[in-house]
Amino acid sequence: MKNFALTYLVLAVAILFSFGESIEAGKGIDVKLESNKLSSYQVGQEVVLTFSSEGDADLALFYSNSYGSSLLSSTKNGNTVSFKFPKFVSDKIGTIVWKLINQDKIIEQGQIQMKPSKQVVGIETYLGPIFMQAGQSEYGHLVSIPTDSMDNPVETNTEVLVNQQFYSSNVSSSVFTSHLMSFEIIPTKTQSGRISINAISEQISSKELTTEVNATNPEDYEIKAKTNHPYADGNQLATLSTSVIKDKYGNVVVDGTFVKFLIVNKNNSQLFANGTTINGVATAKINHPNEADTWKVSSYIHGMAKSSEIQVQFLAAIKEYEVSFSDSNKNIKIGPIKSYMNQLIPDGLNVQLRVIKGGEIIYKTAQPTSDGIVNFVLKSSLINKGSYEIEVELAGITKSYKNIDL
Amino acid sequence: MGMNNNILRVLVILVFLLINLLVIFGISSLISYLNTGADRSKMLHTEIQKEDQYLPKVTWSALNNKGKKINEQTLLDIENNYLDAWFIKNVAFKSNLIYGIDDYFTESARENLYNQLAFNQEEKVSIEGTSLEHNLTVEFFSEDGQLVALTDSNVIEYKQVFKNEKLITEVHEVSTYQLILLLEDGFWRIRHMVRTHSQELKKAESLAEVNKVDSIKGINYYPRLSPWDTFNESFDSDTISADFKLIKEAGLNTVRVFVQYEDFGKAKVLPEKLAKLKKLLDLAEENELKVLVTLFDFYGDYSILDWTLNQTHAEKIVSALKEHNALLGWDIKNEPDLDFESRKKANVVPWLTNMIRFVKSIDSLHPVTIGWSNIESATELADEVDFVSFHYYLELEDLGNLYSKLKKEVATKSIVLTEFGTSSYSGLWNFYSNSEEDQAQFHKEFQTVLKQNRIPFMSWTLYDFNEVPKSVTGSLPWRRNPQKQYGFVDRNGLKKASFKFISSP
Repeated sequence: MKNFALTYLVLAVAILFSFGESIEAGKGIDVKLESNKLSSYQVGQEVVLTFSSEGDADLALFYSNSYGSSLLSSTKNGNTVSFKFPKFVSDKIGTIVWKLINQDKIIEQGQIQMKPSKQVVGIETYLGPIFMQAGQSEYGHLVSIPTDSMDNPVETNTEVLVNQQFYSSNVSSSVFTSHLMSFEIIPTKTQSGRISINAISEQISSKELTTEVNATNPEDYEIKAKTNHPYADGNQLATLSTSVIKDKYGNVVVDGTFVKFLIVNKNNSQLFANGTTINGVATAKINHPNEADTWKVSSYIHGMAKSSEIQVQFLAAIKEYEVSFSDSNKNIKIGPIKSYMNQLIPDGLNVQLRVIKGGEIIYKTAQPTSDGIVNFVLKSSLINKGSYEIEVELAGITKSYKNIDL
Repeated sequence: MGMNNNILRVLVILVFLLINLLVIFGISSLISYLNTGADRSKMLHTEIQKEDQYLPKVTWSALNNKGKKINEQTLLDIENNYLDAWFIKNVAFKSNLIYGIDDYFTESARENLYNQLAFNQEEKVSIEGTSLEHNLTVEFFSEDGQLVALTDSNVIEYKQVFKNEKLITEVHEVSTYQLILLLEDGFWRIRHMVRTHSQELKKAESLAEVNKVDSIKGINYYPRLSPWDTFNESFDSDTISADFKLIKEAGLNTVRVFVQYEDFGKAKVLPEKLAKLKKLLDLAEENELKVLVTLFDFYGDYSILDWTLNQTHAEKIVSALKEHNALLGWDIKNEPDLDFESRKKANVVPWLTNMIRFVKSIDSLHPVTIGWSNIESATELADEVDFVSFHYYLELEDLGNLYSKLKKEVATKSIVLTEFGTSSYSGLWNFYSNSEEDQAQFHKEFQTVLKQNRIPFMSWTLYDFNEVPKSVTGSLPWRRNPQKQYGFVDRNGLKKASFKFISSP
């Protein structure tokens, strides 16, 4: 271990001395660049700077290019000193600045232009946006950057052929690179569909790129309602649907367009239902009302289009029902309630019961029907003894019984 | 014997008490520390911490690009990411590590950097660099907003090149780049970067009328109650106005004031501080005085990655004041030669050179100088400054000769003595060897020499002070105490004997 340390020490001292010597020798150095100070090379070519120098100078070469900078150490050969640029430097286009340094002083400097290649090996393409609206105003850009084998953009003014295929039409155009790239405008169409695009430069083609033309804003449309029967049974579903919604060019709107249906009933209450389009048609389902009603139905696509208004009529399903009192009027049974074909109504119709005294509701309750019947049991703990008015309401039909003793 | 025992007893009891006190103090501080608990406001880490770290001067040329019209917000995003890319690149070349590069360069582009960095690491080369100015033009912006082509022209770059940690050379480059950036994962990343040409950095032109400094008769100024802290809360227009009136009536025409880098908010210059500085210049104008503004007081970092922040600081102050009638010129830094050793001359001199160039590029009409701490240093950067200035605290009899020598060395430049003076302090630390009369005598003689040699001057300083910050003189009393009494007016506001010689012998 100690021996190693000693060896290193000796070595270090030796290096220090040799360094000191070379600095001595470097004084008053006469360096001459063999090649031109302002030179240019084709990118990818090997770049070597050679200097003729008298004496034993300690030279280093600073360089910088588009991506970075560094220091090269020299190779000596007799009276010439040469610096070979690493491949990753000579493989990049642009300006290389170099400065020859001797003893911390810049003694010579120059520039090298790495000229771009004409040889296209690949073509980078960027297409966007990938969706456009049909019409005349929108457009996309196809940016193509033809590159050489070292990932440099090729020289300015390189031709790029852009092909656009849309249904049966095929359009080709030529653009030329400037500022490292070329771009072509891809105008939208009035017809929806897919535009396929590729770019070719020097027989090198890009892959196929596509952009979709979608229908533009929808035009106004029609709606219709479909019911299985006209009765207000609170059970069946009514189906609301639109006509095929299209834009002004006749393109069917994109699937998933959100359509809102607005229903105004006889009490001026508003009900909403919504749906999204499939093949231009949106549907929504909504329960029949509990009682006879006439709905005014309209529909709109927010901020873009609306439908005409239609009316849907519902007839009363329940025309009459029975109310019977038992257990000193504490037990009130309603039903069996029958519907439009004399069938028992489906479970779940809401029945309301109100106990009224002197025009004031002192107790109210509600229950859904089960097997066409509702049983209300009035607890004596809730209602004081006395004579009351009892009101029953279901399916919009109210029945009132006065002077019931509870 | 009994006496001794008693003393011993008392001592033992005292020591016992002292130890107890210490233990109790220790326990109580521990308990109070444990009781402090977490700061609620910091529990969720909701505070936004954004420190400016890279602010080169960026100019966008008018938008006239092909493709889509670009909006301000996108432009700002591009600028931020693009500058971050430069910052990350500079840090990478300093350390030869690749952290962060993948955020700002696309997959293919980063290979170019990785290759270079691997090479540098192997060769033990490291580059400390920064870019100082960018002039950006949008050439093309794609319709989908995902691709932008830029030209960055006349990018000023400064690099120090090290091999085996030894400084080999420094390089200034002015280059033009063509760039293509892609928006990927929310970052604008560099895809192609091509330097199209490069040239030497030209010296900033100065149109300053320099001969006006030849008639300077001035004084360094701090208010009596806020030495080294002119722009604090106690900043009072009336006080300063009265002081300026006093200065004017004493036959002087210039004051030298100090803008402290941190006090003024570093790169984010505080508007209230700037307003006070402006007010001071307004008051100077009212009193027909000119002001030499000394920048970067108490700043001492000089590291290359700090340069852009320093520039931003200077830009804000210089551009705010450059049209002020009372402005005489800019003293870039007070006595930077004192940092040559601790911060290395190789760092300080390039910093000064750049800052001179930068200040001139913002304000070419006012002369720029550096207040060297002694006459020997005054030749440093003489080619860069518009006039030379130095401080003189040595023997008066040598001044004449040294001044003529300096004049020969910097023949084309005017020279101003921006600090001189002596303390009237008389006390323990100088064996009561000074007095106000001695100080008056000193100024009388000094003024005679100044007159003989026609040296424009600014003396140190108007007032005696009650306190001198430790950061100015250190804490040694034989340094601090004399510094309190360099004034022509004592701490009670009474003129000292020397006041008679404030502007002439």
